[in-house]
Amino acid sequence: MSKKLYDGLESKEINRIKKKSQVQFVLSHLFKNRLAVAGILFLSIMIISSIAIGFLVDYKVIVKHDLRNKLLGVSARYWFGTDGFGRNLFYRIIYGARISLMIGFVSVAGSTVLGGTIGSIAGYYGGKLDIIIMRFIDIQMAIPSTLFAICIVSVLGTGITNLLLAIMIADIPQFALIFRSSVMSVKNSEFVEAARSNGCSTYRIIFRHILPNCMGPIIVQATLNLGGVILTAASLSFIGLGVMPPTPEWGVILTEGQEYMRDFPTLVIFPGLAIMLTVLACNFIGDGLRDALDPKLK
Amino acid sequence: MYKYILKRLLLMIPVLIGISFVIFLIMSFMPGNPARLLLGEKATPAAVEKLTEELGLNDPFFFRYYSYMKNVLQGNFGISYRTGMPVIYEIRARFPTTLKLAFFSIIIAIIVGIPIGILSAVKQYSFIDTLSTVLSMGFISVPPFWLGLLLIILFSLKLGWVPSYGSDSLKHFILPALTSSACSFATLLRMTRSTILEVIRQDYIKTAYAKGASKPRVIFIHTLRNALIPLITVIGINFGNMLGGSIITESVFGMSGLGNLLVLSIRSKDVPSVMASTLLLATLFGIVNLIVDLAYAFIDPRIKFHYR
Repeated sequence: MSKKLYDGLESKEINRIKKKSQVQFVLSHLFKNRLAVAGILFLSIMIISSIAIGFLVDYKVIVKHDLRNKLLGVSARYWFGTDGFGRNLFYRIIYGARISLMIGFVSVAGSTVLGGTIGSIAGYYGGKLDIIIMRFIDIQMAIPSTLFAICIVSVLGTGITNLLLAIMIADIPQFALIFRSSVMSVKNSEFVEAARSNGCSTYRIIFRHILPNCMGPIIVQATLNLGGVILTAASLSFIGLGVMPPTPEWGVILTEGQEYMRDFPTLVIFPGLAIMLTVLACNFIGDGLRDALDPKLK
Repeated sequence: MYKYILKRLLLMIPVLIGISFVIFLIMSFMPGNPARLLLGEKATPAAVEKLTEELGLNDPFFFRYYSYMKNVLQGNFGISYRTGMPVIYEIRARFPTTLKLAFFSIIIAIIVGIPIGILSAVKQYSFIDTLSTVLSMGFISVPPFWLGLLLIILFSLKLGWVPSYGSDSLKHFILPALTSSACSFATLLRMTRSTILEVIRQDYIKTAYAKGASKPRVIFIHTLRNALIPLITVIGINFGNMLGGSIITESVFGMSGLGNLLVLSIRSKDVPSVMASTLLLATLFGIVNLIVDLAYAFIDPRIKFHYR
């Protein structure tokens, strides 16, 4: 016999009536959005296969030249054909996902954390500190972010880590601005007042009370930025200021394919499609999240 | 009104100083000795030391920044380490290309993006609306350099209609302008659609219809004018992105513009050229933002009223 709780309501029934948590609510809306689901599926497949290829194929096979097999067409053995150095294009593209996604995730995470810290401090304390931080952000925002990333790369030099750092630094102000405005919008709420009167430390107020209440726009921005970062990284590698050959980064694969594009357009089409679909997936997820987090839905 | 313009112009000065300072600061960390680059690997250490002193590279940072800015204000951007000629020559030759490219691209984006955006808002959830949403999503996600390559493969290598390389004639600008307008056109389309949708539901639009205004009149006079402010903001942002993006587009199409100069100079560690091209691109971006702000004043009577 089930335990009676309130006035004849059974525990099962209480669970049914109980309001969904915020996360459940957002997820249920997100999964109703077909495009977002397609994006999540595509990105998951990309992530899983890029991890799997590390165990299935030796990295040497991916970078080793095999000139006897160069420029082969699409076949059962070489799904996307081979490139000008006889390397399996399919393997290179899947391995490239590993590098592009890694650059994307790490740099977005980095700029979120750094921009978030700067923005939260500016938004929470306000006053002179806010003014000083905002002037710095204004100046950095006045330089187009691709241009800024290129400036930093020119000083740091090429390579995966430097590319990642450059893009991360260039994206900090965007996140700082979002965090700042979000923190400012909730910092005078009553629950923050309550936390303060309970004797919470500033650190605890910001991280436990304010930030969880303004995660929505930040998550959306981070997802949308993921696509942008992957694009920028590929662009910089394409013009020779990012990852260097023979590393199978998508921009690098495109540059290598460019030489043969007149007669073997697939060498350019496949890596470009990989970039486009991945960025598209990120944008679909970001759009879906924005709709799901929209307070008007509740 | 004049007060507003004056205020915006004055605000521009600290931003420009800030930009130049940040770029100068970043560039001062550029590895390698410029004197060694100018003289070549065979130069004696004494000669390198002498030139280093002459170039003022041993001076304190702030002094170097001050003298650099003083020269820049007089139109002297220094001597290029790569060509040995004053940087300003190359800048002067290349600047129009970049400007033309950005201008053509934004015109294409406006001509294509805004009408389709209006159409898909007016016919919300129709086939046109779905198609334009899908298209704009695709164009936002497409890597510009890849789109450029695809256009080259189709229109210059296969069909042979337009040249794929260089920037000599207007024909050379067709593919690059299409490439760099793709992303802007898509963002502009989405923005137009969402703003128009928002404005269309306002009461004053209902009033306009009730007064018997024709549909085109309501759309173009009542709705579009009220939707202009966000659209102009997006156009401004896109113009800025195009200046940044010109680096990529110009590299793909081998155009001799500022962006291409920047890439060349970074590869050869030619700091004066990198400084000058970055500074000019960023300043141009600042000027575009200024124009956008001034445009607000003309469109939005509230700003005019505020600064009367």
